[in-house]
Amino acid sequence: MPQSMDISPEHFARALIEFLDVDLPFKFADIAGDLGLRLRQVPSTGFDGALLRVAGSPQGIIVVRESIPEPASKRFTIAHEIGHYVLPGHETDCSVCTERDVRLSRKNADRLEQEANKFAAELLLPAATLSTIVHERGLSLKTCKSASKLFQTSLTVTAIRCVEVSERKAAFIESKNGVVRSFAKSRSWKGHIDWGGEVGSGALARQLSVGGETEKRGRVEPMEWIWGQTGATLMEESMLMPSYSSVLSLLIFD
Amino acid sequence: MSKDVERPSEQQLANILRIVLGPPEDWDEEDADFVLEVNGIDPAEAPSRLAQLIQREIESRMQRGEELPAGLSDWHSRLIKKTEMKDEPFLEAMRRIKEMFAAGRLLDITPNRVIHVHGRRVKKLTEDDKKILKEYAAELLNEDKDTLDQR
Repeated sequence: MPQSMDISPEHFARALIEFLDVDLPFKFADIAGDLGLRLRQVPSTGFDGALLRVAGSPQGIIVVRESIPEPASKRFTIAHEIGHYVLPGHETDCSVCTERDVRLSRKNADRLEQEANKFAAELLLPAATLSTIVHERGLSLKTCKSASKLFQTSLTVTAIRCVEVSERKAAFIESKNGVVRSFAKSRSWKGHIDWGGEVGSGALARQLSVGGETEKRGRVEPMEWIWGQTGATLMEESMLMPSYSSVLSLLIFD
Repeated sequence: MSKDVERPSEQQLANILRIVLGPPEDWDEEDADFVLEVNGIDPAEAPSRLAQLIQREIESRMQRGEELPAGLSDWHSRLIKKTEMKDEPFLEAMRRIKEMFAAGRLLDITPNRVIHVHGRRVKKLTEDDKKILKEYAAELLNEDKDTLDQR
């Protein structure tokens, strides 16, 4: 293979779907046998999921914390572990041996985790299909919710993917107690959002509460979200997630 | 003197296809492939160009505020999928996936058998967590040993 060929985790996810010849959303029970994998739900407290495998052999066990409350999060965790199972470099490059301490450099571990996350996102929410849906229905929380049901993925993961595949200038932000916890941006929006930054008091996200309004949509000043930015208003859609005490916000810049 | 076989013009052909198959947005994959073949195009070689054409058609309909027929979008998705399948990185990923799950792969592995663990959202492993992992690791190694013995 030429050195220059860039095979991404997403390519492996698409190839695996093709190899397994499955329709989405698939049940892991239906593909586990073909992959040589078994799934075990365990009463762990220190990890959400883990892959145990024999080096060089297509067999393994995925263990998942049984107390993960949402089936969609469990699906993502399993897909993430399948990523470690399939992706090159995840077998020999680094590992946490069950009888040894962690011997990964943080940087390398982060890279592997990011690759497994990218793989899982593409396995569960293929960009080609999702972009068509977003293109047709428009980028909105309503579209994210319906895609989340369609693909049996969490609203957060689905919203991130919808923004990533969208052609519009957009961002998705998860905030807690008025502070930005995580965010994703579409390719066409080059702006900057501060991780850990405070959300402006005029943002709709700050106006939601349990017992009050839990979802709002409207135009707000950009400076409510982006420090120092002025100009045309942006469209904000925010939704309170009471079980996580967090707010999911979709921002569209026109 | 033999007479040349008359070939319909593009417009005539389009009309015939429309009468036989209905509007393009209602075509299924088989119909779409048939149309390509009638026009002398190998369906396996054409998806990229067609996907672009349909993408433009979708965009133009959206700009005019027209509703998109479901068939058109479905066809577009299928073509995109076909196009991606032809990408070299995809083909290389596919080759590796097939190789990974090929029968007899177990024969090629090294004798240095190690259990690898990758965790997601790993905090500090408790003694119980370690016990769980060891238990399944032992199960896996035993099975693997049995498999090798049988071979």
